[in-house]
Amino acid sequence: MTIVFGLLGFVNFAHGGLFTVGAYAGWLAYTRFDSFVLGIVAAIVVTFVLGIVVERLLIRLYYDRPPEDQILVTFGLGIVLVESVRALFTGQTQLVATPSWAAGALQIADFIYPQYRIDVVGIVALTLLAVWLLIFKTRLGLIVRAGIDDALIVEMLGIDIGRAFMLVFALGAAVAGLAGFVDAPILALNPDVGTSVLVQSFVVIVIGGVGSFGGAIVGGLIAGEIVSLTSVFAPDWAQVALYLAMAVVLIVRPQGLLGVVGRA
Amino acid sequence: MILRPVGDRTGWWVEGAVALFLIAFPPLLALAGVGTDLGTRIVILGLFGLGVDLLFGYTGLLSFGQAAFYGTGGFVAANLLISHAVPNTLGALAVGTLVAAALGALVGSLALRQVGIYFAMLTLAFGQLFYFLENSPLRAFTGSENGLPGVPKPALGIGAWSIDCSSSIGTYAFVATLYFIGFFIARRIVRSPFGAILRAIRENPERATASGHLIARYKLVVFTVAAAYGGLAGGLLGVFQGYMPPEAFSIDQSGEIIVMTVIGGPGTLIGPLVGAAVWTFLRQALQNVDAIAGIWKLILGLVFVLLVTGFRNGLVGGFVAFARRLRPAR
Amino acid sequence: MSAMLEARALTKSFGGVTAVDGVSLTVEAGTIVALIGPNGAGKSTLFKLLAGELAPTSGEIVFKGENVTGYGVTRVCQLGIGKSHQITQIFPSMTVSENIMIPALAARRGAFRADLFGSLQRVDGLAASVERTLAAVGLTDRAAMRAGDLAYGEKRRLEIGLALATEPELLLLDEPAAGMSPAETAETVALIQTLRTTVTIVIVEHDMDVVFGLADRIMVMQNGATIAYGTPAEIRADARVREAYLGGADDA
Repeated sequence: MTIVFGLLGFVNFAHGGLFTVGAYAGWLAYTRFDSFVLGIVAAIVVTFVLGIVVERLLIRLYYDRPPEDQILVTFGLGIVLVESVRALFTGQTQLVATPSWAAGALQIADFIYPQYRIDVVGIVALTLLAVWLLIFKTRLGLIVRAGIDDALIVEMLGIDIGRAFMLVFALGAAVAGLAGFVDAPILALNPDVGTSVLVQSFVVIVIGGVGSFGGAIVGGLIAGEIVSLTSVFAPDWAQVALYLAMAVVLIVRPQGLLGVVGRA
Repeated sequence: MILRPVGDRTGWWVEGAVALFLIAFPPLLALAGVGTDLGTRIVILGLFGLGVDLLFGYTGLLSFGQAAFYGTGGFVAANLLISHAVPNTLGALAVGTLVAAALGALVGSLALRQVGIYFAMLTLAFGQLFYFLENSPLRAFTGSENGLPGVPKPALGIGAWSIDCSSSIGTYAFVATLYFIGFFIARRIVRSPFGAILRAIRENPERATASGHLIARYKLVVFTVAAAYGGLAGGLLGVFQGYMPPEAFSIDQSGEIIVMTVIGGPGTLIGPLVGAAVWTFLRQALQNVDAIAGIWKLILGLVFVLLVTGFRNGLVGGFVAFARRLRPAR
Repeated sequence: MSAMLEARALTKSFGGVTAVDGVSLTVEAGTIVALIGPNGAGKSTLFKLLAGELAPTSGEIVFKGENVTGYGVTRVCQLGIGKSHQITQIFPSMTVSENIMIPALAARRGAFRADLFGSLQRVDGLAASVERTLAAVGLTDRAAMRAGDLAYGEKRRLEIGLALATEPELLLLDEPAAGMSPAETAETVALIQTLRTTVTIVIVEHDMDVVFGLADRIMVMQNGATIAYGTPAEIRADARVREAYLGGADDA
């Protein structure tokens, strides 16, 4: 799931909060209407709209400010979002049932996988495809990629870069929200789920590569493998191994495995 | 030509004012109906924040992993004291600080290979690394979720005479003294040539480099210093509480100290102390108001976002700017 | 007599684009060399190579007999090459004298010193250096002013001052008169004239009056390569130069 964060070429500290919001929004819809699909839709829509509102009101003010300020505001935003959710829904952990059509387990060779997890992989793949198409095959995506490289020229060409950035931000928010809901049956639901996911997504980006689409995927796969393998052999060290890998990548190849130098 | 320290037109009166404040703090707290212990807590956080301010306020390095050093310093000192390996409180604290500083040098040498958001992400991840390290593999030393109880109260002995700091006010005095020393040192650093270059790095790193400075080394040194401050503060926390909590390593702790520094005012050195006070008081006050007890963090979060957006220099910075406007132009 | 600066067959390629193509250059101590050429000729890139901002794809740079190819900006600066940039890069929230202090600190203290407890007053010769530089660029009365509040021309002078404060032996000036009014340009020229006694200068400029008035030698670039190098008189008479600049439509 953390792969999805990496693909947009940027991530911000508020994504943890958006993850959480999406999870809760989707859960609300899921339980009220007893439809998983509706839950997904709710998660996406709510976070997308939230993303637009936030970008318009707040993020927009920060484009000319140094990166540290941008980090601070998205960090603060993340806190506000998480705490709002906590206030509305209490801090108790909720269990979210897997949808009935995904219950059960599949046996593949020696491994037994819960059916739902496989479905999640499918959803991730679909999302990846959708986003990839958007960024690389549409005009909007082209504008955004150009804008990241040189915003001034894009503006001078008469294209409203502001709107494009806003949409991308909202898209990122929606992706985070989707991830939040889809992960809910696996991770259980409480206001703090977003934070650890956020950090892990950072690790994925560092390992896979700064500013690289393929890198995010590779990073995610590697990260996932590291955690799984160490969980089997030395469970105490599972999380530690992940962060160690990140440190190693930094020493050996600071721009990440598939990253582009200087893209920071 | 008199060369004033870069960006700093204040004199020794700041140190004097801080000293006065520290002395007046407990009685002020008593007036407000609050115990001295709260004050001790605030001062410890202020000390932690001194390092963060040097790192972020002056050099522009935003690190979300400072809790790693806070926790390390704390647990090292706590372990030494509990196991009586180093029964002397100051000695244990010193070792804790040094270990934290060494760790800071190590982490810094890796994390500083990136800048901006990637640096921030890295520090975040390192912070997490230490959190999980502390939680599992090093369980024996850190008591995992339960933390480390039984840290003895400070017993300061120098030769024949010893000071018993087991009382509330005694502990406060101990902590406040160390804070003042830390503050004094931080002020000297900021006003030194080294400090001037830190500011240049924050303002325009490319120009600083092109002017002939090896900014990577300056960054590493200040990172190490910040880690040392964190380590000392962590050690004091354990001694003060008689117990070392695992949350000291948490990402929340890293985030909190950043929030406090920004709210108080980055680049002012007293900002973190002010921010810690605001955070702690608001937390107390809001929790006593039933209607909004559960959302104190939300309110503080909103305040934080507002300050970053509008009052980038925090409360102290805003106050200074206001005071300057009142004073006629020199 | 060996030259202060020698560039030998410098080439810089970015992917498929060759910005600098086998350029060789010799700069004698105590002279002013001007670098001219149409836009895109490669002048800025060449400057970046000389200042250590970029490493050449091939070729060498020898400064005072030492091969400095590939040394980074910091090291090059400490060795004695200073650069004033085309786009002003100052420390906007610091005062003018504080701005000058930063490079002066590097010159006086070296690339790194952990003097966390030191005092600015006690840095050997710092105050004198700052005063001198301020006077050289005519900003003494602006010393306490916030750098970001300076007028454009003053900022350009500060830019030169920042390069000067590193106590260079070779000064690279990248379009110092860019965006200046005729009066300001004249002031800048006067400033450079006063500097020629203490530093060797290489200057990139578009203003031909400035160039021909100042330079001892002129190097003309086009498409990344040198097309001419000589005294102002020689350059004025050179047919290739005229073609490059005026496309043949010349009636001078």
